[in-house]
Amino acid sequence: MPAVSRPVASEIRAESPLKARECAILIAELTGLWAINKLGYLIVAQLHVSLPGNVAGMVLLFGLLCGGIIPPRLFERSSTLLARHLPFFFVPIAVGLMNLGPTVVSAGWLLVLVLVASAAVGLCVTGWLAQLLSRLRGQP
Amino acid sequence: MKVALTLYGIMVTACAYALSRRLSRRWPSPFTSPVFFTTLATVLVLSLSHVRFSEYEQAQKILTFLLGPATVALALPLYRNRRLLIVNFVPALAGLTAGAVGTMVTVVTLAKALGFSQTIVRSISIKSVTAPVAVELARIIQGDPALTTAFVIVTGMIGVMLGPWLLDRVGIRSPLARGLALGTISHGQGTAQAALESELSGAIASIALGIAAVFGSLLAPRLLPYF
Repeated sequence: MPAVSRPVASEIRAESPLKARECAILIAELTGLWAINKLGYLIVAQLHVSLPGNVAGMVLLFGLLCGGIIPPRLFERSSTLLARHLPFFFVPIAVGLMNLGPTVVSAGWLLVLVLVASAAVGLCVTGWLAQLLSRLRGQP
Repeated sequence: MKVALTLYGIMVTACAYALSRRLSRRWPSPFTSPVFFTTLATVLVLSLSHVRFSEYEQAQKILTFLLGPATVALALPLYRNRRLLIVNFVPALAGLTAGAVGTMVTVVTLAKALGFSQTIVRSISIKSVTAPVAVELARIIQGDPALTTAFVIVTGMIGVMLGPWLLDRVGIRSPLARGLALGTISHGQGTAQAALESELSGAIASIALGIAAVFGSLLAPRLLPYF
């Protein structure tokens, strides 16, 4: 008989509360991030500034982390998970492209050229200035 | 019927995403990247099965529920790499500001000169802002969120395909400058590319992505009225 270790009942039982605990922590973390996000929208609405609420939430969390009010490990699991699957959460918005008129589609290549040119300008300006200034300060 | 369509929309998107993760692992390329492949595959499958966008909207609402919390969580890499920012404060912030303004002015000027509509000009202006922020910003500056997302995704792909080659050609070799440029202009996809070059490049790119998002949010509503 090959010694294939099949999970014993006791092992399964030992594992499942752990999984449940992980899930509960994750949901609690996500709820926390959701609350900060809501708070960001609330602040922006109250102050009447044209800033996306989620950006206000991000700045708020950054401030709370820097002030030592929230320890970074509090959002460790959720932030890793959200960052890894970030594309999944905004791709459905891009699916709205199927609603577009033929004018945009036929001009597609021209728009790509505009994007290439402006990206090239941005990449060169950013890289060149940062490199120049750090060399002036004697850093590699 | 409505519930079934919503479930179908969710299923198609989730399957396309799962497939793109496998494809990009086996054949890494900007065209198999989850952002590009999932969008294209979902649009194609929905169109071929005669689902209208209005019938997908409910699925879209459910799927993007975590977009806000995901944006808030971007504060964590920013916090983890804050020392790198403090040490390189002047070159990093100057480069980022100049690049973000430069790319926004260039793209708006070109789109305007080529006679594109106001909606397209507004939507394309924030193409270097990370997608979860750009979507919200598009609503504020009266752009089209779907168009903006597409421009953001294509800009990410351009940064990955063209960025390292271009930076080599113009003699930008400092890992700090390269990471900063890729993160400022090509946000998430650029940051992933920078992380492949070196750890320092990746870290500074993730800082650049976050600050460029805040900066772009402040800049776009104030700059656009002049065009």
